[in-house]
Amino acid sequence: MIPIYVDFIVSFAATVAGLMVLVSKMDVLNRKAYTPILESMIIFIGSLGWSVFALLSFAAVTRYPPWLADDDVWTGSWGYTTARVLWSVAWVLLLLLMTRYTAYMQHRKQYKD
Amino acid sequence: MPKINISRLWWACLIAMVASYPLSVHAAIVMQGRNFSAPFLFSWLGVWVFSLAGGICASFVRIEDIDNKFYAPMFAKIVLGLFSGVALCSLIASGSEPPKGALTFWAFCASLFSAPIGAGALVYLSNQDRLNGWFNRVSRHTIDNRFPIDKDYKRRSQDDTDLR
Repeated sequence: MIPIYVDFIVSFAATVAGLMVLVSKMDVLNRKAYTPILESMIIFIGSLGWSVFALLSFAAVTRYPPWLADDDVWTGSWGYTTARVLWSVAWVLLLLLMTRYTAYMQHRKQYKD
Repeated sequence: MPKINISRLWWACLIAMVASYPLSVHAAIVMQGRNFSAPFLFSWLGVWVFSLAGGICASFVRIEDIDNKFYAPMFAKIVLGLFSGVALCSLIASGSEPPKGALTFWAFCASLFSAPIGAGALVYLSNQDRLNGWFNRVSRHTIDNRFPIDKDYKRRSQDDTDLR
């Protein structure tokens, strides 16, 4: 197993997880549900960052864009990959936290005193 | 209010076209002779088109705190998505030669994610109540005696969900 594969899988999964939370938990596409602004911005920014990592690792795996096709093939390093996996754990925790807080804000908006 | 005469308008248009023809020829010559850098190449057309598409898809994102503040939220998200997507792509590709499929796909993702970020940042930073809250946190009394800081934001509503 080459570390860059792990990189690509982790960052792609993190991007998709952010999208799923945005759509299913935060109701960004639902016209009737309230979406808190700051929490959704945090998830949008995080998903954008993870998509950058996904693009770069994909480019390194496929060596397709010419601006990344070097003669020495970059296969990643386990140090970077470990850091990325730790960040992904932090990202999942953040997603859970924001999901919970979004539910709280939606409830508060619906049943405000 | 002078009455607009359509035939005179046609004449004015024709005169303007004739007068600006040498200018446009000169502009075409200058454009052909010049080498443009990365985002303004024909090979970047895919990036432009897909960031426009990402902006259009981002305009379906409905966050009422954002959309209620914008004059034309769909158009604003399309414009923000187009230009932020192309800017991010040229940042990623570091202005080098033709990008291929991966970058074109990522242009879509980038504009899809960054259009709501830009719109939300504009809304979040343009709320005067929120700014007053920040200013009051910095200096409790006044910045200047002639311009007292508005402190009504505390009394305005019990529900502070839109003030965060």
